Amino acid sequence: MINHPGYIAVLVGLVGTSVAPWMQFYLQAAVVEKGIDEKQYRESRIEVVVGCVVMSMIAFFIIVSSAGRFGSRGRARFRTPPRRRWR
Amino acid sequence: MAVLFLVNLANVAANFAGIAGSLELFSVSRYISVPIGAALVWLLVVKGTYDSVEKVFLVASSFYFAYIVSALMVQPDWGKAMEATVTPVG
Repeated sequence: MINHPGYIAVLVGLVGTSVAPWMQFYLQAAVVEKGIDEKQYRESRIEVVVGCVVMSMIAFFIIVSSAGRFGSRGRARFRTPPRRRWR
Repeated sequence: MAVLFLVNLANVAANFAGIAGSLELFSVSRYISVPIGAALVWLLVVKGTYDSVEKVFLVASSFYFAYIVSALMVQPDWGKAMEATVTPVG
């Protein structure tokens, strides 16, 4: 269940791509650079929450589309083009 | 600090691998796409103001909506998808 290797890999991948270190610094810097004062804190917080919700929704659709394409039903018609050498 | 540096380095490497991989689908060599990508990111970070960076990010984010269309296009088993959303792997 929880200690399934695939589950751990997905968990690490999801957390690692969702909470990258640079984002923490970028968010802080963006709040400062945008010149947000105390009155706009509420709106700024709403913006962050909406962003997180939308991002999770998109992550859901990314997982569904790749699972549907590469997953159990074995109907993957997807091919990468032959690798070309740089000359 | 060292951990932060290493994690960020890995993150940057993964992103460039993404640029290389995705553009190779369109037969663009990684030796072309990665330097161009790096130059654009450098420009954005070094020369960009908040207003310009915000616009670039908004445009880039809008591409994510393609995943919704893409998920609908593969016609997955939605019942199974919903079930898997709330249950861990067995």
